[in-house]
Amino acid sequence: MKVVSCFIKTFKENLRDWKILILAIVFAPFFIYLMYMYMGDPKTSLYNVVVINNDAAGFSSGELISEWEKLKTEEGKPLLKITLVSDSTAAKKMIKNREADLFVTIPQDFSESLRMFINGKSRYISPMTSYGDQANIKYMTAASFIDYLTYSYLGLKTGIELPMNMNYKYAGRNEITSEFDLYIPALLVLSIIMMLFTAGASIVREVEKDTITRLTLSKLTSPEFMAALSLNQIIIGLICLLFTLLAAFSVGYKTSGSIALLLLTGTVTCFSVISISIITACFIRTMFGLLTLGCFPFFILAFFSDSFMPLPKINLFSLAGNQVYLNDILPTATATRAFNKILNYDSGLSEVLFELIWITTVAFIYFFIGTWLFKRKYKY
Amino acid sequence: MKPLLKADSLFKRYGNIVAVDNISFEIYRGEIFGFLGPNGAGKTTTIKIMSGLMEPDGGKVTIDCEDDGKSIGLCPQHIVIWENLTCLEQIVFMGQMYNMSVTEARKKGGDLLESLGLYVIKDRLAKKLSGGMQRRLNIVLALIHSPQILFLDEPQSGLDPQSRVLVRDYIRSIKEKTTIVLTTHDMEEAEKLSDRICIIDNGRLLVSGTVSEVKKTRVYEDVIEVDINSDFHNALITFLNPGIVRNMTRSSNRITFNVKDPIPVLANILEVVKEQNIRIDNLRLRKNSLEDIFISLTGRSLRE
Repeated sequence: MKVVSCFIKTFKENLRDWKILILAIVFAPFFIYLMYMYMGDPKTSLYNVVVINNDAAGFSSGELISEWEKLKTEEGKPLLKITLVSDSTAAKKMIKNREADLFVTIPQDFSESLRMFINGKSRYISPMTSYGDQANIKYMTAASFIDYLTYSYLGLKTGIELPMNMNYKYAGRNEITSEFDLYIPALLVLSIIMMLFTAGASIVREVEKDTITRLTLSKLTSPEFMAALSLNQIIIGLICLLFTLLAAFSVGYKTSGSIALLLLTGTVTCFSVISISIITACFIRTMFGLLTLGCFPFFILAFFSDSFMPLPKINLFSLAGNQVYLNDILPTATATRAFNKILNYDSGLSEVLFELIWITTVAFIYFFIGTWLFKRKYKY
Repeated sequence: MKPLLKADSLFKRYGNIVAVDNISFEIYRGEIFGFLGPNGAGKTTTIKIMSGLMEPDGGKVTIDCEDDGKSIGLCPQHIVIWENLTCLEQIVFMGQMYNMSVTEARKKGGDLLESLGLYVIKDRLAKKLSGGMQRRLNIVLALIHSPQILFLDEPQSGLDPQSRVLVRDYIRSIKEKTTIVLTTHDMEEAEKLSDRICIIDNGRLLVSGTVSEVKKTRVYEDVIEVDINSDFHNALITFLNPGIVRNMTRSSNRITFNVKDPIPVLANILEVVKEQNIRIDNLRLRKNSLEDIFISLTGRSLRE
């Protein structure tokens, strides 16, 4: 009964303290739209290739470039955007500025060397040069496409067949998965990490205004207070999660993964973030402190959740055939993996069960630490 | 009579500072007990210990009532309300925290709001109330569960004169059912409200008893105040017999002292000022106030 009353009271307060609530709800959807604007239509995933065509004859190089341009997505949209340039320095600058993913130079005697090779007058075809930034993940993909198309063209022209053709198969959905798609799970986790502020605010408000004294005198126990707070924040967390997912859908993101399973994972992830926010709130006494010092745990959670960039995996131990990594100590990293499996690989409950159990376990550990710290600090 | 609350040798230290130094007293059912002292005297710390919010480093508090979590009510010195809840919402919430039903809490809350002049704004968010209204709401929140003992820590600070009277009358009206411990540094207010008082300073209990008992702790009950230009202070003091004058204090243009028999002293003063041609701005004879008692005990003003 007390838990329900406390839940209703906290919920009303959260609704009326709408600035933090709005911030929490719109933060991740904002990044969805930002990423969409930055990356463009996720289903086209254009790779920008700049080409300097020095080929004097121009016949074969023209055919080759035409082959590159013919590469299409399943939906018939071009995959490579070929831009012919003449200045090598300008092309390299485009690579450094990430305006282009790959820079290819076709040699002056390309057509001629190919003709001589076909006629048996030469053993080599003059090589093309490719230039790119290894730190740009689109570079390797673009280079791979160009390599494959070029060797296919040359095979066709020379009648030389490659001793083996690679069959390409893709994990997860049988569609081209764009970089944008890969960011969605992390952005969903980011929406939940925002709970750090709303949940923290619910606690810090009581401390800052000293209403915690009234609750202490009323014999409302810490676990009762924390349970009401958690229930309340889980609902807000799920609202944030759904808004973020809707934002992703609105810009063309598709998934056939189980939304129910996503919500279940979201629920335990919310609980884990709330637990961490309880610990955070034990070291902060004011709302100002929460919105300033609270940014530190926020960035720690976001950074280690792979939201910003994929981090190298440091193995800790193996449990029931599942590898546990160092950043799994923070539940958001595990949540990102689980969301990715559900949304992008259509994984079912059995495939994310370990992640669910792990997040729940870690969440309870943080919850008990937080509640203990809170009781100790506020004698409550 | 068995005391409702018994504080026995309470001791509390914050680092090197002793906030409460071996304080003992008893509070009886149905009385208003004034806990007086200047800022930093140790009143709030003692209240926190008595209400169970703080553990003493030494001594103990015994409260003779059922430990059902509902026996104690506390109205803190500062305003402690939920700003984003309406008056009624937070009162009902507090009632529910004390296991009252919503209906019961609404009924009791409505009555309390009515008594303290807040019923008309019961649906207004607390953050939109004036400071005085918030203070009254602060008191209501401490009373919703009908506590047996109510700690009111400076309940009247920040209230306008009308609100002070309203609150004072209300406190008087509930004392039959609720024992009240009132802390204040306003001696006048304490004198009007309290059945018994104790004065503490620097964590030590200086004196306790009924107001008249405390006043009688001074040998001489009458006080003479002479407002006179400070240039003439010494001239007047020279003529006052140290044997019949006690507790003399001097401020910018006032000399204050206690006397056993005021009439001859007044006559003597008038004689002196006539002889010396000294102009007196004001000459007043009054009884000891609590503030006089405190000054004589601590040697400084209460409202520092």
